[in-house]
Amino acid sequence: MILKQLIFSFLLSIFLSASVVAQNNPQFQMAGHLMQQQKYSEALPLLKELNEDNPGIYIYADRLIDCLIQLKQYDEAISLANNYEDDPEVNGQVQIRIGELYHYKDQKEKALEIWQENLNANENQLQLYITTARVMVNRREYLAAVDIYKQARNKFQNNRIFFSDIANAYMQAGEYELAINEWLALLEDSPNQISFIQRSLLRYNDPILYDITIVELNDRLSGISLSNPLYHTFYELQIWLLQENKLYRRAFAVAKEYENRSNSFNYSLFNLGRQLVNNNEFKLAEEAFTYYTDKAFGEIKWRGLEELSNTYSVWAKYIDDYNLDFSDQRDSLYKLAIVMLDSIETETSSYSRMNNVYLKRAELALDHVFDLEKAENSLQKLKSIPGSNESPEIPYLEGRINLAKKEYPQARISFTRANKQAEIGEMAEKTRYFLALTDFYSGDYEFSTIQLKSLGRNNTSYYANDALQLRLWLQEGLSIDTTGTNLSKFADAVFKYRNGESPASVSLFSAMVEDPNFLALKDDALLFYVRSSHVNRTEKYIKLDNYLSTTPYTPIKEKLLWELAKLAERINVEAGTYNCETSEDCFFADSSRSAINSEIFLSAKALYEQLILEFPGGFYAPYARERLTNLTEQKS
Amino acid sequence: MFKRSLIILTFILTPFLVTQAQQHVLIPMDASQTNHLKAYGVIFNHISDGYTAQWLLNYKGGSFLAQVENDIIRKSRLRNVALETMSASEARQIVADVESNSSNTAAINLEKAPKIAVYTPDQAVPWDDAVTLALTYAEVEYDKIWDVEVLEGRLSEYDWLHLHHEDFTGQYGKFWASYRGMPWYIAQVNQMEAMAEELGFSSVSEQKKEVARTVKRYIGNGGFLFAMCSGTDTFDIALASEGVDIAPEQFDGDPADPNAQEMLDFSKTLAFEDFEIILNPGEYEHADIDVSPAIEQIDQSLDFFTLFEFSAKWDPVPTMLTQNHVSSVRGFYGQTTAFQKDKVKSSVVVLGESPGRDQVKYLHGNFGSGTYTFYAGHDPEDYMHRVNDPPTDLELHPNSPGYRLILNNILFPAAKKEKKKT
Repeated sequence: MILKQLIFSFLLSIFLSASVVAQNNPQFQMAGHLMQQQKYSEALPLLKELNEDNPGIYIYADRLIDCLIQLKQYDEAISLANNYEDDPEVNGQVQIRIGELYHYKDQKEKALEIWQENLNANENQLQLYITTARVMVNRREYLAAVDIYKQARNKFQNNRIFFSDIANAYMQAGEYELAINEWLALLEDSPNQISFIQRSLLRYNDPILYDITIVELNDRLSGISLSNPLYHTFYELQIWLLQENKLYRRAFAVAKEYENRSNSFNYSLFNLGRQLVNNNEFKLAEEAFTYYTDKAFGEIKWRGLEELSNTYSVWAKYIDDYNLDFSDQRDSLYKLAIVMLDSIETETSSYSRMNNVYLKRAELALDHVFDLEKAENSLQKLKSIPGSNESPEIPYLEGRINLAKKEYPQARISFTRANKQAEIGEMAEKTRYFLALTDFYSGDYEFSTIQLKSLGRNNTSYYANDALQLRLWLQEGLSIDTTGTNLSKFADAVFKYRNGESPASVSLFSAMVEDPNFLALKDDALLFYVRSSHVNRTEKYIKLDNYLSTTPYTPIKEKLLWELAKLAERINVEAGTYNCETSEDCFFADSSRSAINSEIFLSAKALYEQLILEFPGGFYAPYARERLTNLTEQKS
Repeated sequence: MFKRSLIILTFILTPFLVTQAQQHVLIPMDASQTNHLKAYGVIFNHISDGYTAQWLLNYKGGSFLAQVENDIIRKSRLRNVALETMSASEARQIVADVESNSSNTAAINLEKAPKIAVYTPDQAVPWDDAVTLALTYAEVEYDKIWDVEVLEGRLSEYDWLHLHHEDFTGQYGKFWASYRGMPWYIAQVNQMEAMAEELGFSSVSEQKKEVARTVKRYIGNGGFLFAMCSGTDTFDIALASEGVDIAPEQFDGDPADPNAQEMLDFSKTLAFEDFEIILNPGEYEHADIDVSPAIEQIDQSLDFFTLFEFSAKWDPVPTMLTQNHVSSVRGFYGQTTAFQKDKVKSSVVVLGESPGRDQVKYLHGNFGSGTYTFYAGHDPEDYMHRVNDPPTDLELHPNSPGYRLILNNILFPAAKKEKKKT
């Protein structure tokens, strides 16, 4: 036995060394270079000579066959290959070559026949299967190659080989479903290969391929039980693909089904919900988190309520940021956010994230419902949490409450302390802005400007816009009246507007607009008036329209025109006449409308057009063009 | 009852009524223009609606003059196209200045908008087409046609034809080396092979070459051809290789003809000659017409090509094609990035080139009764556009000089040809 192995090793080493020697032949190397340069005619005589001089070295003949193929001399190549048919060492390879040559000659059936017969004759040589299949792939016989790979699987009784080769061959053939099935079979065999499959799919980046994979996964998921370890693997891939294809509704349905079928929570909807919020799919995120608030208890339910509150807050801010509030949805969303946090507070005080709940609740109370008592209550609860004394949130909230109470010196101290504790980051910027605002409300305009300068260095701050607006008020207010008398009135009205005294602030802003001696910030006062939710839209429209008619050269005319157009659009949407082209159309669309109302129903489209025509390069021009496009699309 | 509405309407319409009396509108195309690309659309559609305009070559960047009619002021302003209104006498004075022999300017009448076809496949491709983008952004209507329509003889229905990054050699853009496993490439190959079989061609390359010959006949009969990217050099390669197999086996299943290079007939091409075809399937290049990428040698900030200045009065066509508000335009890559100068036929008019680099970016020529313009590169506002890159948003590039050159091409067939007095 040992002797046999030694002889085999000796013969193999002789063969390999002969092969290496042959490849090192300078003439052969020269021919190789010429072939690489596609100079086949020049390589041909060199290779022919080598073959004639060394007929026993197959590698020369093989390369000569390559050269003859490129010169389209297939018959000569076949004749040359036939010379090696009886050589037992290379017979298998030669038959593959002969098949390939017939394939080039467009005798495809014969080629396939030769390849199959060759395998039948050498059925124990795995390498021959691999080489044959690869040649088939090169000759674009993809399905035949798959067949060979599968034959090899059967022959060698190993179903775990050739997953990638078969999948790739199917892909090349355009048989995507079969390719996907092969990948999924690989996943079934090795669930840890999920990242390999994700990478492959990402590389293809093809929505159709994603769709096919989703369908195939769906079939598989419906056919296996939840206890099967594969279920989670398939689910993960499915959810990822659905989100990649932006099929959020389906992703939600899949996650919900997974959660429904589990005996205990697997948090699939939790994970999905957070991703849905990031993708601005708020309605679905709401449904996802509601699942837990409806069905869970304790910590899971409270976390669901907190996530819901966050969803409503982000949703409301999104509506604000994109100027999409056409039905006062923003305010109702903030109220819902509060309701969720209150539910947690009602149920428990032992929720592990209670500090977040108190902070958010206090902020919502101060910013949106103006419930000072509630804010103070939340602050006390926050203070009672062990270890919270050192956090900047406490002095920040104290400052906010002091500010709302007009206790400006205390507010300054608290915000300064919070700012120092926070050092950098969002809290530091937030407290700096509120410091400036405190000085603005208290009439210390110089200090306010200094605080804003400091904040201005962080020009990427979340509060940069608010800070800029405050700075403009200060500049404009002091430019005409250096004593700041009018600015003081304006600051007082802004304070009331932002601290729950909106009806009172509306009266103040309205008086400023009407007062002929109130010059600076009159436009800004009008903007506050127009944006207040305590005034009827028709009244707002009339006041704004009158102002624009009598004051054609206001510095923020563009902004005011934008508000007027938006008001018209909202009034028309409510009246169901948003597509009317002219005032007459708008009037006749709703004959029950009062005479006063009918006068203002100039088409929103006309107002947007007016804005563009008057300020073609202005800030609002692109938005007005977008609104016009939307209104036109709605009509069509 | 409508008193107030009428007041508001009057307020809106007053500027128009005033401008109506002023009679003319000048759309400047120099740096003062706020949206150059939309300006082309405004003028093109003005002509399409049956009105006339004048193209003031070399005057304020190739500005347009039209009478105030067809709501042109409102349409322009809604599209952020800057304009100046003026009286008829002021307009006459401008035209007189432009026509004066003392300046290299000329006034060209624009009378009939050409009917436009874009040669593009039906199936969605993972990249975009600069011309389709430009036409859509400028709101210029066009039809899509593909091989079947071309071979059915439908080209005669159109005045202007655009070809974009098509591979007329039938080698599928030579994406084989990098993308042969990608679903879009496989689908494209399968679809093209099925179409070739259906149309009775032995291979895709034979079909594409026949399309190229048909397009060439269309130009000969008076058509205007505008090609970009690989639609330029592969078009000429396809014409030169009539009856020669230049596609390696990876594309059509059998090797290229052994003497393919020697068998090329350069007399059949439009713009290029003496080029060497590249038969290596792994090389992302069809011939040595296209320049080699020089990303390492030339920084993007220094990559420019300059437009030649022509006599507006004696060479109005090249002048129209090079109207721009800048003389140097930023370079950009494509499957075909720029043409080697020594491969360009001497009969061709070079419109733009990279100075000191022997590279032609933009050229124009006549064939039979028609003309062709080749513009190398893929997307003027995407320096190195790659497969799967997102399409360019022209809202971000309303003043793109590179895109202006594309739109010059759709407008110049509208120019009324006038014989010069000698």
